[in-house]
Amino acid sequence: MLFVVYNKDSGDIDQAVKNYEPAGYDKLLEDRGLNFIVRDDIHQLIKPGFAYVDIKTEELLERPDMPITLDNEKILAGKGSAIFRGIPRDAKLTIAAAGAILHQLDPFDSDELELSIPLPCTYVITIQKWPFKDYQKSIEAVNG
Amino acid sequence: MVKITLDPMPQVRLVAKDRINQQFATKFQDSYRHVVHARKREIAALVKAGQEPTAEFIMEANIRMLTVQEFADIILSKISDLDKAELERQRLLSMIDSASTIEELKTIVGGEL
Repeated sequence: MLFVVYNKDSGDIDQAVKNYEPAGYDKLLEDRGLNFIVRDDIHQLIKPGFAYVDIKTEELLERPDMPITLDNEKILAGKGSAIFRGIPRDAKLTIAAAGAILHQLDPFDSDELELSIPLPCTYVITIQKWPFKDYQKSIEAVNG
Repeated sequence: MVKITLDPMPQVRLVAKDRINQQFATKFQDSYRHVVHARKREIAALVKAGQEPTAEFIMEANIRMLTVQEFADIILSKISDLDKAELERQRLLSMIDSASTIEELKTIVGGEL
């Protein structure tokens, strides 16, 4: 049986244990005050970051992809722009380049972002919003 | 729609400076050569101030077929490894301040950032 221990507020999975001698294990988890669900139809372990527990229905669900569209992954430095649409509201936005975090907005209060890069380099844009899977794209600015 | 235009250079310059400082810190950490050269400079300065050198200093001067005074002069005429490295570090940090592209910064630090 698969025992999935999750955070009661977010549904984030703290631990997923495949237990082949499950008798009494549920009581042990209850005694420790942990929130968990049990599944006997899943034969593999869950990949870290792949799933979550819906705290209302107690269903084990795959974290959805963000419905973000991007018009351009390569732009002209100082001229073009990349437009992200469909960003979930109040997401955390991080813009990084060459090992440095250039900008961070938490929460990002819009569902659209237009990004311009003044000189040739690659920006890595990361958008995080629970329970979506993290979204990450690289935008390369090149000389025109 | 939120529009963002970011100049990456200020933050990436900081990353490049950290990289240079790490490179020099690693290079000079526990450096036997650096430590003994610094010690020899101390003794050479004492010799020039009219004090007696250590027996090892005299023996090394003999090995090199130099007088103690000549040996002390040669040691003091050389810029110390540490001074030389510090000059190089400052030169690289200054180049980072002047760089206008990320490619220039990569060249200065000798690799990817």
